[in-house]
Amino acid sequence: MAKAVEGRAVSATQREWAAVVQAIVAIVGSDAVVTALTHRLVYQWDGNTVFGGLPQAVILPRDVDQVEQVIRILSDHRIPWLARGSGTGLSGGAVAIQGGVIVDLARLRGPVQIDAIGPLARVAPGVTNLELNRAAAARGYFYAPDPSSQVACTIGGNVAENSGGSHCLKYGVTVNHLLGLEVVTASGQRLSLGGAAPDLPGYDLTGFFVGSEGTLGVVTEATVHLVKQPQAVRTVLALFDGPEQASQTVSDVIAAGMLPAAMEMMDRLAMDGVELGPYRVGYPSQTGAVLLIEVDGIEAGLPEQAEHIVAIAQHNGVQEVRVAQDERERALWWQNRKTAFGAMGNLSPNYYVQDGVIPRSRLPQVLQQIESISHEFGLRIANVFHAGDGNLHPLILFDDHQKGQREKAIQAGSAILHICVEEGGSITGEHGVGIEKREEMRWMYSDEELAFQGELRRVWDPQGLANPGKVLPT
Amino acid sequence: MDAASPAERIEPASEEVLAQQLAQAYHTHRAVLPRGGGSQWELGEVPTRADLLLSLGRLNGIAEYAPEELVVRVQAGMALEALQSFLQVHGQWFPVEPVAVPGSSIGGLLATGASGARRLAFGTPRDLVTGMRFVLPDGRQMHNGSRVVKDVAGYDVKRLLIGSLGTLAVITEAWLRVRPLPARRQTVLLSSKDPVGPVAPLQTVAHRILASEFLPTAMEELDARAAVQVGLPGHATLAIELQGETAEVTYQRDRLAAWASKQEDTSTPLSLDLLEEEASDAFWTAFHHRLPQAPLVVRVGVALADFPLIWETVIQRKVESACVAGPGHGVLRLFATPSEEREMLALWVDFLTRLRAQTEACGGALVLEKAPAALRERVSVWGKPPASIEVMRAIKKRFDPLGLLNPGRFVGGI
Repeated sequence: MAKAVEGRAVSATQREWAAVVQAIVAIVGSDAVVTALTHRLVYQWDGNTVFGGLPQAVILPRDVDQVEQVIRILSDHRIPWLARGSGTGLSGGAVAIQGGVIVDLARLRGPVQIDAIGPLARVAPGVTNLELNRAAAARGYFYAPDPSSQVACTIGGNVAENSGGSHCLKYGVTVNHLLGLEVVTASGQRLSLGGAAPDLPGYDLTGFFVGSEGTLGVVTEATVHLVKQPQAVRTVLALFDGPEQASQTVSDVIAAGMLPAAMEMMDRLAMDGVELGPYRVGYPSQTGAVLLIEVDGIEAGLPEQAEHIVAIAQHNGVQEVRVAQDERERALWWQNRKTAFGAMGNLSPNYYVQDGVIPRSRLPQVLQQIESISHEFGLRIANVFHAGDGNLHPLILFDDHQKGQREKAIQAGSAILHICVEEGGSITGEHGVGIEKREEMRWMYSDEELAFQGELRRVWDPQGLANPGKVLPT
Repeated sequence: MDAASPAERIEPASEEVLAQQLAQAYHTHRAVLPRGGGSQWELGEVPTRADLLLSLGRLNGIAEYAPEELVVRVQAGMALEALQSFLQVHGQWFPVEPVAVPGSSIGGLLATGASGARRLAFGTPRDLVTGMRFVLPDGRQMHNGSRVVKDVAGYDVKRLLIGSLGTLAVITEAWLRVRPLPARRQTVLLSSKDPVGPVAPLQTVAHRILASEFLPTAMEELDARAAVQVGLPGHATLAIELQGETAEVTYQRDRLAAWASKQEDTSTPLSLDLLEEEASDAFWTAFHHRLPQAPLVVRVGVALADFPLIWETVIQRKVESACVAGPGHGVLRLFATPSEEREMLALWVDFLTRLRAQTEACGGALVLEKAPAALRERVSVWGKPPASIEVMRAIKKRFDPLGLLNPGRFVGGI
């Protein structure tokens, strides 16, 4: 692990800091204020393994009033702070690089309120994506954005990052499912943005807040749109010699006028990793790429679609293609795919996940370029790809015990992002900019554009206290 | 917005020229009214100042098309209809048809955030834009987002522009998500045989459809008057559009027919008619573009849970008007040609004031999309400003510090 730096001293003097802590304790109680080093260390990292930072205190408010009062105090004393959910983010967004305070929203997790008319749900920020989905499923619905970390990641974090998942091509990302937000802005003001009613007049502040990575304020409740569970699902698993044939299959499926709910691809190295994990599918050794395609909707229309997909795969020289026979088989295929990141631990002491987006049809060329980067830096790179929407997750394997490998991995990741931008894509599809990609933002936006984005940020946070040092380059 | 007629009109042929002209207007403090197809020109309060009309008419081409990615980059002045014709050749379409008179441009569609019946399945423009180019009032040219569906790099500035009614910046270009054209299109019309029409049985069916496995791409309830205006017999009608592969469309249609013939919950039987392919398209074209030709168009948006309450007030109205409502998305519209008589006007003012109070009390909004001046003098276009209006004003200031773009036209006097 890289060394975490003790956050640089906040602007407050020691005496003032003590007074601030005292004032916060008066609001939330002493058990909700963490200052002991051993406990603060838990917050030194988030899901990323490269950038760390130590907060000077962690506060765990119990309700919205406490959140508001705490943020007011921090604002009055100009102390930097950031909101944190489960800390599963992969770009360093939930790390206190400038010290200050972490407001942990773990205790804001009341029951999910589902309104079948809508259908919609009102969710507290500390509720996990999976908990929301379980509550929705019990009523015949689902919440579409499904990040691979859904077991742990929270709705508050999903809103901050505009999280995606595997079903974005058909169902969209977090912002497409958000109707309204209750927030406390960085200046300590409670605000309702949007709401359950359609077409509310005014600027789409909800849309702007989503994906702002905690730099405008903190979400205290989200009203989300739920989707009816489809009547039926068909999942197709296709094994190919290599990514080129798999990629052509994806393009041909789209060209045939189908819009699958998900299309996921893994290359050989990624398969090697997951096959060593708990959800082994048993991919043959000569398979170079696996493609998982899922179609959903009205049962009557699915057999034909599944057959069509099988035929397209065969046309592209598939080694083996099959349709899941039951829910158990489907679940296994998905668990196999969804555990791909963690499975890299089976192949390498360390790994670094990247998150770039490319126009889908450029995949074969981009994979070749990634292979060149792998050779150039002498690091193995596994590829997991949301092939439907062009979201690429290269997993760069390295060994921290070998001097310089971590730096090389970071450089290799950056080189891959450069290719994504050159191809007309993005430096991040769902993991956010965080600390990690601040400099890469310059590849996407001019100085003038970045400065303007900064101006819009200051509307919400004039003092620059909410999650400082994230998103925009310095 | 009938009173606003700027003295001068410009129609730049490129974004570059547009930026120069905007900068010039900025430095001479002249108010600018951007204009696309003009189909929603009357939306909003009358601008407090209008010096320059900026037509996007010459920025009207396809800039880039990637059918295999399901995206297209379009200049803002391009007519929606022209875009659809272009896409059709490639077996695709942009799944938005706004409730507006014909002639919408892409830029205007995004600036107004307008949508229609198919929002039920495909969402609104907010959900279908992945990238955008725009010019700030001082002439700074910018972009936000990209051609890819998933892109979370930086702040989502483009979303502020969608639905901002040209008060923040001038949209010049957008990446839009498109869809494959469906193999089949059918519309099932369920109508109450009683001419005055108890609408309850139609609502029951609508709710049953929403709770079922069905995936209609549009579902709208038309009262008898609205039905006549779109060329149907004068009965309250529930129109359900089904799109997709033959098997799924047929399945849903047959199930609907079975429901209609066995209406258990009411003594009023429902009759069923079927419109196929072009006839189905023609119905929805009339629905979206013929009704809003009325001089008064009122839009009410409420959460679905509050819909029955609003509906109750609407069906008891004493003012002559046609009504359509989407029981799956919560937008209801009234179309009318109010006479200028004082009593009639008073009835409208009274009704709209009551309906607005009720709508706002449950967190919704009533907007006069179009209204005769006499009515607008007594009922505001936008209603009560949202709780976050101060943030909106602050945002407006960052984009347009001198207040030169469509001044006074938007919510809260923005």
